[in-house]
Amino acid sequence: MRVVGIETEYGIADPDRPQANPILMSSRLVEACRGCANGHTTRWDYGGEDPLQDQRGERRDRATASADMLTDAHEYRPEDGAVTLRRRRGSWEDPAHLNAVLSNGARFYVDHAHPEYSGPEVRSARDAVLWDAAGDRIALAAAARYAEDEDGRVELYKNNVDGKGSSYGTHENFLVDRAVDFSALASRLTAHLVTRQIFTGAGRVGLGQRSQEAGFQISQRADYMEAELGLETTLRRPIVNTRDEPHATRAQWRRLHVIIGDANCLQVPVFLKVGTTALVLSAIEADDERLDALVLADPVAAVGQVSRDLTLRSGLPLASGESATALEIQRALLEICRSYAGDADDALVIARWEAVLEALSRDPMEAAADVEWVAKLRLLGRLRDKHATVDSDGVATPLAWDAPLLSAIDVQWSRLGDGWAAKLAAAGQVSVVVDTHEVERAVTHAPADTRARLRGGVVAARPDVVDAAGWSSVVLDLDGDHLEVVHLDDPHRASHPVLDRLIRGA
Amino acid sequence: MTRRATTASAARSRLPGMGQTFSSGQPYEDDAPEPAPAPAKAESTDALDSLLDEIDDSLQTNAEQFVRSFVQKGGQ
Repeated sequence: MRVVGIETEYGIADPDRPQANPILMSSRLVEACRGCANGHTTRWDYGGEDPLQDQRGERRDRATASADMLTDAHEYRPEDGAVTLRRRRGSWEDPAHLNAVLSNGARFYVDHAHPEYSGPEVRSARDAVLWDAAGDRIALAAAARYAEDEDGRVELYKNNVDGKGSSYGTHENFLVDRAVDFSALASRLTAHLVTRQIFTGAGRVGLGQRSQEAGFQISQRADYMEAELGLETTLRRPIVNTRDEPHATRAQWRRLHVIIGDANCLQVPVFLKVGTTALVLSAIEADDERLDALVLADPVAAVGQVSRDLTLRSGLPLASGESATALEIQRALLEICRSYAGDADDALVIARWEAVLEALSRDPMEAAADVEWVAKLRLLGRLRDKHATVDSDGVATPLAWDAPLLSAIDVQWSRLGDGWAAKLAAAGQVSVVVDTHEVERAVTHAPADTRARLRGGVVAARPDVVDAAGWSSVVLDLDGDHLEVVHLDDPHRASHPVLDRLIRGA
Repeated sequence: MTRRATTASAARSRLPGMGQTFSSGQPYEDDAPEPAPAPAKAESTDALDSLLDEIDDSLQTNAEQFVRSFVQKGGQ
């Protein structure tokens, strides 16, 4: 499968002090995460990628720059790959932007007012689930250490809304061939992003950005999607984000940044959202014209329509003038994607995709073990019946959707460690994709088949010589006159002579 | 059931790939292979019941306060 990574911004709260500053708490949580890493961590490499680009919009003429400013000129040593020299810098770090690069290749840091786990690059949907689950463990271990070291404690929530207007994201990143025309990509991908909600949605109590209407909807994120295309991620959020920051060889690759997805506490939705989207991207790269029949007439309106249709029967207007339900569009995408399943992992994705669509089309409740919004709706439905009011004729009315009890369960559903989703899983009520012992290993070990192996491996083996690391760089301090920047511009490349020597202990 | 099958047949002709799924011309429901076995109904109900009891114990009194105090800053 193509290279993929998932980023999760967690909700954060001190249950004893609701007014506590979330930026400060997140920063201290990253510090606690570093403590848990027991020295096997490094800071983030922000520098050196375009040293002549001035933040004020000007660009220094290369001819007038002094030699030591030219940190982007790679010094090619055939035996060592591309290595650049860079001047040493101080050890100061901005506490509001604290980072921990970890031995599993991930980045745990403060983003806006949330702690964020950006998982390492992976090459299968199953590995995406594995390192996503590892992120939850890492965050939970950091929270436990925070409670020991700090004044106060934090609870972490793997959700996307507070029900009062704020949303924070769970983003997927897919490596895509640069040769694909971006507007064609966006137009062919949108129908999938809009309709995949029926199996990726985490469920939400409340309708509207501020939950101004009572009710239940399929997706956490749907009400915050306000444009088809755009650069923004924090306001007027688009279905397809246009940020062009490939973290890889620009001439060859794009990094498609998908911001419409929900955070998932169940594993099957993570498996499917990554696996199905990667397959649809393969169909797009192959210029499969069958996708054109599925283009939606009004994608932004359709996001909300799909999210509110719990029966999965409502027809979405297509650009062709016809209409199709989200399930019908997903079945059509499944049939198209059968042609692009390239390996055993893809075959598992296809099989799971088909089984989940079949269960949903028979009766959504049949998918309660696999689909998060259904699992949540089933629990809330039982609770509504349990708290129903019965009138004098014996007619029962379920608890109303605006009851605080239901909103509270919705939020607590996603709490790391002891949330209701975790308890449902512990009771054997949800399907799992990966084993606990594998997740435990992924907390400290990086994927072996991407450049994350090098980043994580060197942080694990020789943190003493790592000055910093980024997605496409590892900065070494080997006691020379300068820092040495090892460039990892190909995300598939899991081997590098300089880093392999350090990892082997040579 | 009948209504949904009709909708599916109508969509068949215009959506790509539908021919393969529905080649028999039967409604979708009849083509579906057997689902993976779900947990036994009674067992699943018991597990949910104990979770519902736990919810009631933990939230009867403070649900409203909990919801009011869960305030997050916007993110990406």
